[in-house]
Order: sequence, then C-alpha cells, then structure tokens
Amino acid sequence: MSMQFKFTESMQVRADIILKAYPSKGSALLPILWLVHDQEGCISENAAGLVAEMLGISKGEVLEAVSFYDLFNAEQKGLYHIKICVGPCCGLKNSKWLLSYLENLLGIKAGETTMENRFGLSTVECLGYCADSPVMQINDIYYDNLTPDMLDEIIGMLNR
Amino acid sequence: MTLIITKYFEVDDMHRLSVAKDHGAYSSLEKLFQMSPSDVVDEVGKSKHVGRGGAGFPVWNKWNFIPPNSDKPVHLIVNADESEPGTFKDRAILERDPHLLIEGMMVAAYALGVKKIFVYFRGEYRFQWKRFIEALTQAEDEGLFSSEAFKCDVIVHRGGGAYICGEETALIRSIEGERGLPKEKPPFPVTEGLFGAHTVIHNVETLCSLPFIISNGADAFASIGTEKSKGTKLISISGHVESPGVYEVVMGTPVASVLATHAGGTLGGRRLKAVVPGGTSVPVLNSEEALGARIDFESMKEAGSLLGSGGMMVLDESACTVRFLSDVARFYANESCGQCTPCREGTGWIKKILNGIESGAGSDRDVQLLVDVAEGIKGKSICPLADSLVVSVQSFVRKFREEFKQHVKLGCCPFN
Ligand SMILES: Cc1cc2nc3c(=O)[nH]c(=O)nc-3n(C[C@H](O)[C@H](O)[C@H](O)COP(=O)(O)O)c2cc1C
Repeated sequence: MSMQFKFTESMQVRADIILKAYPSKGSALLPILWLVHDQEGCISENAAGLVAEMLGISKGEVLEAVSFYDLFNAEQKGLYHIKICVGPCCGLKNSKWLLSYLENLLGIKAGETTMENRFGLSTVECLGYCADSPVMQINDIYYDNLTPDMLDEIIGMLNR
Repeated sequence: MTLIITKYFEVDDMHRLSVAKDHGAYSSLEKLFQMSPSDVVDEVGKSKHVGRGGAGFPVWNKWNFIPPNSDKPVHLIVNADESEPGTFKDRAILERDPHLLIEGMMVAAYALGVKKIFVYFRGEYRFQWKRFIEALTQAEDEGLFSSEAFKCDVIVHRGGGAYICGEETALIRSIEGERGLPKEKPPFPVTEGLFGAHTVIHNVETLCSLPFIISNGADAFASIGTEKSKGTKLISISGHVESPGVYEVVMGTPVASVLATHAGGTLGGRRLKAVVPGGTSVPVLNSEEALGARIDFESMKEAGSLLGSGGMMVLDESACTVRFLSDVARFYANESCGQCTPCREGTGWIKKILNGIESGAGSDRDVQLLVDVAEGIKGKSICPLADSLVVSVQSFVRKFREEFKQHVKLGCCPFN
C-alpha cells in the first residue's frame, strides 16, 4: 500500500496526450484519474499526490474529486469487484433478494471484501441495463437477467 | 412507419465506418456544406425540433441565444451522461449507430461555427465509450473533421459516476476539473459556459435527428408527429413487460399501443398498476391515466406527467409502489451533490421515512410527514434534483395512498 505510485510507460504516453488536448491542466483531472484507476484499480493517497503535482492543483482537491465520483475507489475492492444493481428497475425484478443470496454465497455483506481480497461486493443504484434486469457487473463484464442458479455458476467459476 | 434513429440498429457492425457508410451514414454532409450555417439554423428552426434530454427545450431557441457577433468561441457539448434509472436509450444509439451521433454533432457544429466539441460520457458506459472512440477515430482518419468545409476538434470526456453531472452546469464544472456541483442560472451556459465560452449542450438523441432534417428537409421532419411534438421518440421500456427494450415511436403514439405491441404486454398478462413514463424524475401515472396517454410532450402533460427522458417503467399488480418509491428515493439521496441543505437533508429524510414504511415500521404520521417533507423542500435548491424526487413522492402518495396505509396497518409489506 505504501508503494510509490508511478505511471507505466504506456500510461505516461496517454497522460501526455490528454494533457495536451485539454484546454487547461486542471481540466484534465477526470481523464488522468481514470488512467490511474485503470492502472491500479484504485486511487491511493500517494497517487492523488502525484496527480495533484502533475495538474498544478492541491492534493485535497484531487481527494475531494475521488470521493465525489462514485466510480473511483480509494482502495482496491477485490480481484473481482461485484456491483449488483438495486435501483428501481432491478428492484421490480427482485434484486434485493438476489443481493441476499449473493451475500450468503460469498459470506460477506455489501461493502465488504472476502478473505484474501478475491471478491468485493457493492450495491449500485442503476447500471443502465434496465431492460435486462436484474443485472450485475463484475469488473468490466455485465451479467443480466440474473437468477440464483446463474449466481452459483458465476461465483463457482470465479472461485476456481 | 418512419424511423429516424433506429433504422439500422439491427445491422451488425454499424460502428465501423465502412458499414455505416453503406447504410447512408454522412450522406447529409454534401447538402449540409452547400447550405450556409445560418441556413442550417433556419432549417432546424423550421423543423420545430425539441430537445430529448428531458427538459423539452426547442433546439432553435437555444441556438438563437448565441449573440451573432460575439468574439467568444462557441463550444458544443454532447450530453451522453445518461444516468437516470429506467433510461437507456442513448446507450442503444452509442452501441448500435455511433456514426449517426457523430454526423448529428457535425451538423450542429457546422451550424453554430463550433471548433471544439466535448462529448461527456457516463462513466459506467465503458464499452460504449470505447466503441464511440473507435467510430470517431475512423471518422477523423477519413478527414471528416479536417476538411475544407469543416474543421473541428473533439474531446471525449469520461465521467466518474455522478448522476448530477448530467445537469448542464454541473457537467461543465466536471469538464473543467471540479466536482460536479450545479451553479445558479443565469448566466445560462449558452451565454457563459464551458471555459467561459458560449456553450450549447444537447442530448445524444436530440443530435441524432439533425441529419434527417438536413437530408429530407424541415418540412419532412415537421410532418411527422403531433402539433407540438415533431419527429420520433426513443422509449426505453423496463419493468413488468414481456419485451423490455428500446423502441422508436412516432410522437403521438398511444402508450397503450406501445405497451401492447412493442413491449409485448405486461408480464404474464398481469393487470397493469402504474407507469412512470419519463425516467424517475417525472410523476407516476396510474393504469387508467397511462393507457389514455400518448407519447408526446403535450399529452403527457395533460395526463399529469412528463415525457422526460422517455424511460418508461412499468409496474404490474404484483409491484409494491412503496418499495419502488423507496428505491427511487435512495437513488436521489445518494446522488444529491450535498451543496443545498434542503436537498441534502430532505432527500435523506425522505429515504429514511420510506424505508421505515416499506419495512413495516412506519406509522400513519409518517405518511403525512413524507408529504410534508416533500412539500417543504420543493423549489428550494439550485438545481431540480430534489424537486424530481418531490414530484415522485407527491404523485405516488396521492395515487397509491392505500398501499402506504396498508404497510402501516399490517406492519409489513403486503406484496412480499
Ligand atoms: C439532475 C439532472 C440530470 C440530468 N441528466 C441528463 C442526462 O443524463 N442526459 C441529458 O441529455 N440531459 C440530462 N439533464 C438535462 C440537461 O441539463 C440538459 O437540459 C440537456 O442535456 C439538454 O439537452 P437537449 O436540449 O438536447 O434536451 C439532466 C438534468 C438534471 C437536472
């Protein structure tokens, strides 16, 4: 955790392109944060400090943004970060019940991670896949029209 | 039936420039560049095209606010932040025909003399964002953004997961590198927006009708739809229907026919209870009101709701309206940016009361309290986020008060 953050070479190239394209350095905050997040899976304090330096803003401003925008994690949320939608449309398709099922399956509550950080579980309010509800997202993959059987299968597969 | 936006949604690989071109993509450009920018503005004005982002503001009126001889630049922002529960129509465009949006952006940018376009993407739409960039890169490589007739830069900006950033002043701040906190209007973005420039913001769907207007003429567009609502509307249907999805309908189409034909009727043929017709920010309609309404701005208003984003959520007789509203309230409480006290505190309070009632721990007083809190925070914030929850609460309690009372009386949810 106390590791010094540094962009990989290819990420640094992308960062330079972004800095050139944006009208002011500070305005590149979100795209630069995305690069950090893509590389590390989270935005550590240490990385926030580096981003602040890069953009000529305070570290406080960077940390404020990290906490304001829901998609940025301040710490890693597990190898497989499960986000299950409990928004109104998924709610109509019993997503709360699926959430309990998932919590039992993993032995954790929403907001927690399993031992050795294999699974992290979060609830989200709407993923925009309302026609295919109930839905969840694991890292970049969406799973729709979920049933308990599917949850068994998916978690079983990822547990191997 | 005339399809303006979804015409090629079933074609594979429409995000590839060659495939899109085989299906007419960018065919409006030849005519566009023969017209003067002000002719294009006039043509769009004649079409009576109205924005599809939820507020229902006429496109031409927005454009007309740009002072003719200003020395400030004009920026165009494409609002692809689509984050309202039940709304996923822009996502469909971004996945299935991103070149249509790019062509629409070009039309608007040409008309308004825009040299910089910003496309603000919902952070969650990662796949769609990548696909859009792929399509855009192909269009740029083809020279579409660097020709004699048209030169323009495009910056694709990915949001960080905040519903409030769909609101235009918050969106602007978010591009400028700040947290997305809405600002008082005026000044409106078109007067003083992104980096101080005149800024025209449009929803994805709004821009996608522009190529049709140019290719076929304003009259052709204005001949589709109703007196005040021209063209077609994308409806994203979710909830208790057999075939949820995104459908394009001519403005004025009866809700009953959309439900029966496109959506395939209610799940298992169960009785319809309620329809929220335009995303979670609009009042709910009971089944009678919904079945009597049409998909257009005026009819939805008459029925007691709004067309909004066209996110149509269907609740059948098995649905608990209290639970649904409770889910809606939790969304707004989470997404309140926290800047205005009535919104920050009020949405949280409403969420708590509803949670109590839904779980069976509420009293009759709580139902009244709910209505009072909603009334108390109405119209007291910088942006309409809290008011959106207020209209939901008021309409649900008014139309389904019995269900709220039943929860209180039974001490549990009667629908479990
Ligand atoms: C809280 C809030 C969220 C909004 N979210 C969106 C959105 O995701 N997409 C959108 O196009 N408009 C959204 N709007 C409306 C925009 O502020 C703006 O009116 C719209 O983008 C203008 O586009 P149009 O003129 O093409 O309709 C939102 C408004 C509010 C108050």
